[in-house]
Amino acid sequence: MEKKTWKILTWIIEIAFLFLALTAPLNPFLTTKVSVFAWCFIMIGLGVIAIIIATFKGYPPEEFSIKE
Amino acid sequence: MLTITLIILIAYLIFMLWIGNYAASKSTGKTEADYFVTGWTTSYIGISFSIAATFASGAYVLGTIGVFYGNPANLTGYAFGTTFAPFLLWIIGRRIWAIGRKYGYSTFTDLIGDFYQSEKLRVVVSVLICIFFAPYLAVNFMAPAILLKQASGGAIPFWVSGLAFGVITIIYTWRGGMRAVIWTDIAQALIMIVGFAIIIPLMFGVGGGWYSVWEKLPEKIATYKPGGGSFWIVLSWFWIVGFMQTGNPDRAFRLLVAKDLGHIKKGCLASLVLLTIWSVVGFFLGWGLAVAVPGIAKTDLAFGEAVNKFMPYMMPVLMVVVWAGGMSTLDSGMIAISAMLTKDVYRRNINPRATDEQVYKLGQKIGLALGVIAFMLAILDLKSLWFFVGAGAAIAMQWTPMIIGALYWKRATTAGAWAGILVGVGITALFYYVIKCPIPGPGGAAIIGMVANIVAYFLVSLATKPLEPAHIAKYQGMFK
Repeated sequence: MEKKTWKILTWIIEIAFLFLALTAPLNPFLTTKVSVFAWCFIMIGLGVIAIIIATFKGYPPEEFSIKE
Repeated sequence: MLTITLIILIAYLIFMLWIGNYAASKSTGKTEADYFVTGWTTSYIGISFSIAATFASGAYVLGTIGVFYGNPANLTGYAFGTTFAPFLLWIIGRRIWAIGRKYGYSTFTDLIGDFYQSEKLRVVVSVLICIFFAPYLAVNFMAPAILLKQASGGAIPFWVSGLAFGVITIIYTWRGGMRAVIWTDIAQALIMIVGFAIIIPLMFGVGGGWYSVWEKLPEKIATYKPGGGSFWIVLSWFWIVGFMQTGNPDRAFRLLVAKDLGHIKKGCLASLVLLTIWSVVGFFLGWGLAVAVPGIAKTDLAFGEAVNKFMPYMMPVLMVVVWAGGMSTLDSGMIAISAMLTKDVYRRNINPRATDEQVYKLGQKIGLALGVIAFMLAILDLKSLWFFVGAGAAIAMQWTPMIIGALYWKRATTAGAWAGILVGVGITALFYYVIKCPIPGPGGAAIIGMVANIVAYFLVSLATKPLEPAHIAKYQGMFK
């Protein structure tokens, strides 16, 4: 895949993580302690995937010039 | 048991002094770069463990775990924040390290002043953050002193513990600067991880085992309020924790000290692992404590109360864990604020001809003065632990939009940066210190302040004359 595609994928997963995680209290299916914490750990997993893709593919260390 | 606790605590303090002294012996000279950024020699181990140890303050071990105990469902927001933070660390770190290396930066305000071409902006941002961050340093004295007072049945007063804690931290930070801070942070993070690994199974044992604790954990505190009632508090915890790692100067400056970008990258990934460990520890201890010692109103005391009641033999371990947490955050705060005051205020605006050695020595003296001020604030025994942690972080994170703008946005302007920081800090301080924030939790004021900050920064930047393209290219254009 091209780098641009990885960048888009990074943001899709990161935004999905943020949306699904932060709307957990509004999620009508999360009504028991098992569901609350299972969802929490699944979301952590999704966030981890986003960071791994960001650091290795979407936004790897940039090449730069140290000289003026 | 108090005698054993004190012996182990003293051994721990001697160990910290030894590490700090050893780190100082590795110094390559009395230079500003060596004192504040280790001469750019830090590996990803140092970066990640230092970020994690600084985050896990004494207030975390007692205060935050107390909140996990009181309502673990709300603290899912905390866990989401610890997952988001390394992402933001990387997005900022991958550029700010390279720019910092090129121009010799040891603080984020170095970038702010240079990119926005404003000495006044540099000084105002530095001073604002230092003022609001100082009480945060004081918090680190409080947790260790509270616990020792609790463990000794009041025999060891608050000020005696605080003094011992402060003197040791100040000595090694003064001697070794950032290098000593990072080396001791590594040891302190490891001590905390090992300590929690010992205490958590025992705490679950008190509750009747893992399965029993989970069964007895009340649904009321382990589920969200119906009808979305927990939304804002979860968002609030997410916000304060997620933006704190790049906002708080005590840990954010670790992005400037790395050997190379590869170490920043690995440091962010290792931070992800370590910060997630703090979330998992919080949940496990919160669940265990909720079953072992239910109904304690002052949640800061729950952890100490449970150890005192059910496993007094573990008090030495808890004591060292809390002192390690407090020290790792205090030393980082002292070195960060010292760097900002020394470089941004003294070297740039008071004595531009200062030599490296003069800056180095002044940095040491400011660090010492900060420790003394923090101790004095701590013995005033002000509000709850989390109030000042939250307030310091909420204000400090207000520089995030202008930093991201300097790294990535060609249309960012000086007027926009002024508007963003003044609106952000003003609104956040208003809702933290003056009027009740409509959003609950420690990050409520920060959410409103940051949103207003971004809007002001964006609109004013678009409405004002852009910076010269050649100037912007010196920063954003150095990346191929």
